[in-house]
Amino acid sequence: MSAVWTLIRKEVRDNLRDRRSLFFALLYGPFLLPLMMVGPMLYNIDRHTIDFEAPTQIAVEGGDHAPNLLQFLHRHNLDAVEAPADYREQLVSGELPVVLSIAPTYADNFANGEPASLVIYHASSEDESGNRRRQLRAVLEQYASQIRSLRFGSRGIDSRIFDPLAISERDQSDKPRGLLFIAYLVPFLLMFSMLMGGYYLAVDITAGERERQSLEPLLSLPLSRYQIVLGKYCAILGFVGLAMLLPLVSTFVLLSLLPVDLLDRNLDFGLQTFGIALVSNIPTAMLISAFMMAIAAFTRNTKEAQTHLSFAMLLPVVPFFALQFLSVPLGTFSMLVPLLSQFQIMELTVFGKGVPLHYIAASAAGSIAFAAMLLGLAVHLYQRERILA
Amino acid sequence: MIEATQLSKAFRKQGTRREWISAITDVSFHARDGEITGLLGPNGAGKSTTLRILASLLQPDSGSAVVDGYDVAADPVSVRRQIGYLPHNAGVYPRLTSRENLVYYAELCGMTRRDSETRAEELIELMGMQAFGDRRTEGFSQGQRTRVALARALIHNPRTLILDEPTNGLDVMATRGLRALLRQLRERGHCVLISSHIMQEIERLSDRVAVISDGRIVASGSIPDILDATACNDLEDAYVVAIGETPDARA
Repeated sequence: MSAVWTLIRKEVRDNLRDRRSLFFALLYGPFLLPLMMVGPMLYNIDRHTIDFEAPTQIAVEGGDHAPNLLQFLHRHNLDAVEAPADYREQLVSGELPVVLSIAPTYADNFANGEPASLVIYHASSEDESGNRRRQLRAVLEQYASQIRSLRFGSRGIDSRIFDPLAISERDQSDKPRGLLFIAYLVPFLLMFSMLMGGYYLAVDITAGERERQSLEPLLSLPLSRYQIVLGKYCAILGFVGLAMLLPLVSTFVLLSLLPVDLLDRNLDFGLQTFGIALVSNIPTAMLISAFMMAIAAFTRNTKEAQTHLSFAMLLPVVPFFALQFLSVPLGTFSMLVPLLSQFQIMELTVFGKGVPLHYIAASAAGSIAFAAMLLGLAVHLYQRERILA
Repeated sequence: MIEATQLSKAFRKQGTRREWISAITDVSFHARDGEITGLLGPNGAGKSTTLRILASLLQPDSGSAVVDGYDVAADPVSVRRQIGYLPHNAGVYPRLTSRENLVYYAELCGMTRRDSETRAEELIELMGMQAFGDRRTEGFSQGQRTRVALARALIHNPRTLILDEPTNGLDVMATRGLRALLRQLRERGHCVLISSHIMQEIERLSDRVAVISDGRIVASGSIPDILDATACNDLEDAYVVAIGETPDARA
């Protein structure tokens, strides 16, 4: 076993000195990828979110004509300030998000029961302006509805007769279609990161070693091919494992930055979900490492290995699309299918449905069995004389 | 000691399924302890294939080879414990220093960390590698790489040395140093087998020579034996005769 440990230490040290390996194993998958995938989501949510509770100033032109309205706005956290004279220019330049203009005829119209004119000036090209416009409009509609009720009430009419239908929607689906993407985000990200993290190491220590012709003297040492393959495999697994663990942490941190009710109340991205993701993806790391080891051992040079492994990058996409577009039944049998099962486990966890232990066991068993087969194939490839060709 | 008996090996012709190319046929020779044996032959004669079989990297199709009492086909790991093998290309790790390359192999051979470092230091001194012992081997000259690879082959103090063109890329002084080292190993009772296509190299170093041509041993024995057998006055003519050519007086 000490020879295997020596092999592992050498391969890890050797590749820690290779900036390319290091970048993809420790930076790309673990940090850049989650930032690229989760970052825009966070940014978008933040940009389109309106906090009705936070007191906000709103520029008003002609506020003197409607003191009651301004009081109503104030009660709804919108504090009126006098709009500057050049507010149109300031709206264009983005200095002001929105301006409420109250017509001089407002008070008369209001008193006569005629539609009183209000204009909301905004700039649709600015996100902030859009948010403020929607907030202001929602509050104004609430005010209008209240006034309508009061006016009908004073005439002895129930204003609800103008609302013949009371429509509300209740989504009974346990996994709303649009949210599946978010549920699959974590396993997809992990698998992609693992492939990227192990890619250069796998190419370098198998096909690269053949190309550098350092394999021949290595094979002339008193080691079995099994030991050599195991040492190299464990080194790849170390990098792949790290490329799984680090994005798990970074994605957890990123998603925990989301306000609780922003994603969807039904989605669980808590510590338990990430714990299950870790447990269910350890066998995936073993499988992906063995897969890359076998593919790279099969190829004759680094270029060929890179080409073959580039196709392997499509691997996490297969279950992602299969589950999105096909109806794959969930059960112990599907849990035996590597990669697919990790997606299904995440789906269950993220939708807070609880994952039976035997599902996790079946998923691990399926992936580890495949990993063992691929590792056996790699040993076989290393035993062939052609490995030296 | 190495005993090769009627070794044959054929490789499948690239791009075909049924066509085979014979690399060596009925190769037999002995390399004794305390002697330097030269395997002399032109490029493509089958030298590297023979050495790879002796290093247990290839299985012979027929025949047998025994290294220090271990059969290369039946007990390859024991054979590898006895030998230090220098392949045709140095194959050192570019991101490791010369010393790290040596220590890595020492540890793989089962030596402790401390012994590995002591032995690496000894070899760095012995091979005159002090100037580049702690430099990464990336960008080394062919000669420097060969020296690292040779030191690596000696790291576990093997009884038998199998060296494929060891002077490859070495300059005059390094070649002289290598010759002195190999003679020293011979004096200590090691069995040294070297291959080369450079006749002068073999002539200067070897106690015994096996001439290989087109995958067959065409002459073997001590240099006087070969001269007698080919009725020639010098090894160059004997070599030319042995590989089936006619010596040209003008050459």
